[in-house]
Amino acid sequence: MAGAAGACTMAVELAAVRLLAPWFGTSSRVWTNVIGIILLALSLGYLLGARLAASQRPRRALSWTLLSAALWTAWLPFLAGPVCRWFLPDGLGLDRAIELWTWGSLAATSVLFLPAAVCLGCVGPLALEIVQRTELSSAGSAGGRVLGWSTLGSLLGTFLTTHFLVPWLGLSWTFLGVAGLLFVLGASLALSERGRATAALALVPLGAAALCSRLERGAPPEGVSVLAERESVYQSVRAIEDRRWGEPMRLLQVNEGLDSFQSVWIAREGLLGPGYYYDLFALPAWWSGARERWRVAVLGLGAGTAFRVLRGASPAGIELDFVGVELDPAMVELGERYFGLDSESARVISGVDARAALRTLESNFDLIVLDAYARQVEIPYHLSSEEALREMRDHLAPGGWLAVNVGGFGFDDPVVRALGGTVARVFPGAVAYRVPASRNFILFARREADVPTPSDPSFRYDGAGAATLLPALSLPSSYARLVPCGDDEALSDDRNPIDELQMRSLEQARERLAATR
Amino acid sequence: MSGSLRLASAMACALCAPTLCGQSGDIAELFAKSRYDLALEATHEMSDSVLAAEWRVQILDAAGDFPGALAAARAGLARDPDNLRLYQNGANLALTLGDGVAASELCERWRGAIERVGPAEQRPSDLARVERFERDAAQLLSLEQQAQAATTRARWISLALLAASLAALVRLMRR
Repeated sequence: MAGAAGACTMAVELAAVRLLAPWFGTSSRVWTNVIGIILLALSLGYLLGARLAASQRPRRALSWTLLSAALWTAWLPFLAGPVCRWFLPDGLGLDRAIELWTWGSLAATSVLFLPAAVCLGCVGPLALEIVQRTELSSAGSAGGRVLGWSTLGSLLGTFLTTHFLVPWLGLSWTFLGVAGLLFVLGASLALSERGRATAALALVPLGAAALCSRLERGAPPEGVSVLAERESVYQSVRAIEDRRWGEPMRLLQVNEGLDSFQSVWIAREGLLGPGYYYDLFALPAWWSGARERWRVAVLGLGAGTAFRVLRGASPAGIELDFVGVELDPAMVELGERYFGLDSESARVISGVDARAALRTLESNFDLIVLDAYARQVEIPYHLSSEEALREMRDHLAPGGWLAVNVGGFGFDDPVVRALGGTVARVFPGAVAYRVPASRNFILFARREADVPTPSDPSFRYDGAGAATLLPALSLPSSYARLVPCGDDEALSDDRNPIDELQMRSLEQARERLAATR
Repeated sequence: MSGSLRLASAMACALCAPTLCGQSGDIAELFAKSRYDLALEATHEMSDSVLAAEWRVQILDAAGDFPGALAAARAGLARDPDNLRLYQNGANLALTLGDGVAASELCERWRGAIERVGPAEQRPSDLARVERFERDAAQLLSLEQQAQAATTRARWISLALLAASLAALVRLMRR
């Protein structure tokens, strides 16, 4: 009983983050809120359980708490949408929504998960009391056994939820499965206590939940259709097709999605047009005057957009040799199915972290693209550190390029400045280019060479779409040479406040906006 | 940050073109050839500062620098508070950037300018255009208000639940 309750607690906790993810993402702030609220609820449950254990019929109290936890858990998928939307209205852009993630996720977690976790917290003390009373054992002996089983159950629940339940059953059925298990435990206890009516009473709302408690992400706007959705080990992933702007366009979105995308597909290969940062990845081959082989590694491949852009926009006759690393296999699967990712003509390493994979790769790349994102807005700590950048530099051929995609609101944006300053410490001569019509910047850096600016003769692009790409980058406000930052500002494996910098970036952007009115 | 669909799709909305007059000739040619850097430089040589602002808006918008283009529109309006083109482009850019407050403020001033200086025969169509922009601005403002209300709600509910839980904890801890 204690083991099963432990497993259910961990399943609810881990799946809780995923349940909130379509609205609030899975940032460390959301994780902190969920863990904090669950811990608070468990401590409440332990104390409440201790009170209930003092009653004459602890078995009956235990059956009630298990059945209550079952009912609340069963309705979580149904409740999640309305509750989350109450704290995060639909229609907000990513930059506005981020500000609501901290308080919104805290409130949603409290409303959704506090009651079930309190009930689950009651199980331990009640189970302990029952063991002690039935077996007349000492408190230490009973407590040790209950805690042992409970922790073992938690361990099992942790692994099962992440690796099996969520990816295979999906979120709704994970919660319903947990609720089902809690109901079976509670009902069997109720029946042994002659509480047939209680069990029958609980069965009705539980049955209703099994029929209609599903997570609804809301219908896409008119002209947009959902091609596929996946609950991967890491995140919720979905491929959508947008026909609102003429030419059909497919977008890969993760978690909350909002107005952002992780990968893009249009029918033809090559440049995507203003607003799409991938186009800038085509430039190093032109700026280098590449003629023969061009070896490219993309860290954070997503569904393979960078490959398609480079295939259609690289100098004619060039032989492209691609390696792509993507942590989430679901992204690659959707990429192959809907985004023209051809894993036969390129080496795709999926299910492996980019930094770990980089160490296994050859050291002669002409271009390394760093486009890895965790939780929509954060370049992962271990990929944005000075040490990681040094490893990338060591995997470049002499004169090879690094292109880093980073979000921000200007060259003085805290994230752009910190990451740009760190890049410049490793690659003197690096330049940041603002991506036209977007919130993105591409930081270009070269091993043992300078990155050209518009006044350099090598600043050229003669491929398709030339009329729009370079002119937009040639304005003085479109680029800035990166200046190395000091030790105290550099991002490192030891100290990397990129999460905080992201929040500061948003605050600064809003202050600036208000000041210009 | 992953890409933003809102900003990318905004490139589909063309701005109102600047006045074509003698001074615009060279810039228009450079602009047509996509030599935005030279065209922008040339605007600094223009004696008509309002026309220069109109061109700066056009060039910066074409280069995808929407905040820069909006700032240029505001700078132009500071010199010529009755310039209908700058109002239209400014409001358009503010909407693109999702700034409902700026968009509705510009729409209000734009409406006033139409009533003051707008050609009588174009007034109905100009006012209809302002109305369309005002509707979009109102939608953005409403979203902003919803976001603010949601923040307040989330903050109070979280704090209330946390306080209640802590009070319950203290109470339960007492034997």
